[in-house]
Amino acid sequence: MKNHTENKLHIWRVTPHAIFASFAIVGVTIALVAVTILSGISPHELFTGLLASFLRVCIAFVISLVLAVVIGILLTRNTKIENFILPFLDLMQSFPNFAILPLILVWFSSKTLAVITILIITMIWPILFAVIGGTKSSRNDLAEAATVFGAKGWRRWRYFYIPTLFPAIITGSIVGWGEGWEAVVGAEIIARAGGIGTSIAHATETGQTQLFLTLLALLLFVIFLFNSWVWLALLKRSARFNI
Amino acid sequence: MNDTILSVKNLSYGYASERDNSYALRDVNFSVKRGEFFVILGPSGCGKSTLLRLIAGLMPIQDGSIIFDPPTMAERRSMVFQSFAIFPWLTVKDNILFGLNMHGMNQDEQDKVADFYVKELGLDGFGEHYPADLSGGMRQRVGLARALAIDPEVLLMDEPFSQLDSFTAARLRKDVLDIWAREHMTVIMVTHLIEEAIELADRILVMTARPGTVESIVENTVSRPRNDRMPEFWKIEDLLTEMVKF
Repeated sequence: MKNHTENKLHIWRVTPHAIFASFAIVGVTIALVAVTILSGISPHELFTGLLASFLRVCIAFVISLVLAVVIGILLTRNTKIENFILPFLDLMQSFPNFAILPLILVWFSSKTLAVITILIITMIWPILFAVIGGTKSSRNDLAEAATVFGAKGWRRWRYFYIPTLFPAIITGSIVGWGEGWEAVVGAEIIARAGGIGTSIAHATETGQTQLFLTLLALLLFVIFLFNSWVWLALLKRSARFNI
Repeated sequence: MNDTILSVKNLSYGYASERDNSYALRDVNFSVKRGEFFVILGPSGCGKSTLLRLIAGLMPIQDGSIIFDPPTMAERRSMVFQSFAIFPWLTVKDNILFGLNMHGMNQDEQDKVADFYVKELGLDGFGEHYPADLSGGMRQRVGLARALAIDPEVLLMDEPFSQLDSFTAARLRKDVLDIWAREHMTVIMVTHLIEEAIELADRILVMTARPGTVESIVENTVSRPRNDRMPEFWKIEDLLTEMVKF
């Protein structure tokens, strides 16, 4: 019962902000999109780039998530390997990813693949470190109970590891997702790889201020909706995973 | 049929991080009879939890042996934890069904088992609730129901009442005795409370610390139902108090 009350209080605190932000972001975006389309710019020009970037972030996120969870769990099962590899991961995490963007662009014939690669090496770290931290702080008695009651093989993954790590995975994912959007815009501007980044660069360079502002608003709009519909909901749900 | 279900022979266990001569368990020998309520009693740090975890198969055996008779009994172990260890992300019902679900029992049968144990342990109306909604006593009822749902032959209990207030603990001890009398399984329970041991046990294994060794195995002849006002209760309490070196 306590838990439900807490959740309710939480919603009360968040609601005024959420309503304000929704009006600001949703209202401004709709107005800008309407004006832009009325002034003769095709919806195609507005939405294609955004959709491409969104898909890139999604694909990179799914790959990062799977890799981070599997690597994180396997790594922490053996203390010796973990102590050996962790310093390397720490080093790699602080590596500036854009430094190798030109190299990746040379390697891959497809710019989309290059952007997705940059995204993966950006997004994977927060999730991986959250998973490693999560396994450290996970309760040993629950692991013992899972063993006693026969959670072996893939069932252990599905019914024990994933649920125990769920809160850590969500918090790591929120950070990774945010960094992913930052990286996708940056990479697309630099590499001219299509997507919203390239659209923004083009609009700026050709002096289409209104298009530029509309694209920015659209970007904010998508990120905002995703945060409040997906991440906030998952975060609320993950509260139940700890006693 | 042999009436021994479990024999522990020359069991020793040392923690690798400690000095060579520091054993958590040293040369432990005893056997448990089929259907008996066997209590391992000792002060904290005497290795009783380590012993139970070795029996549960949660830790690898280093030295000596733990033999189930017949060996298939090892598959019929179940456990109740001091900290309850119920899964916070599952409802009461799904917690109870965890073991059966791992063994792939079909949904209809699972539902029947869940309904049965929800009733049996007085959790009516809480089947769809999450552990965070429950009191400590209720959580341990879920822990017990989960342990019983897989129909164990050997029920291991690690200080199952020590995190509960005394009223809740007394009530749950009665329920455990009722269930044990009805289902005829073997119970091996760890505790540091002398009164609790006398109330429940057929036999009491007294352990001494550093290294953990068997001090003595005491036959508990106090007639059931027991209460702590019986003279025979006091007698065995005095005997055990002498024996347990804190």
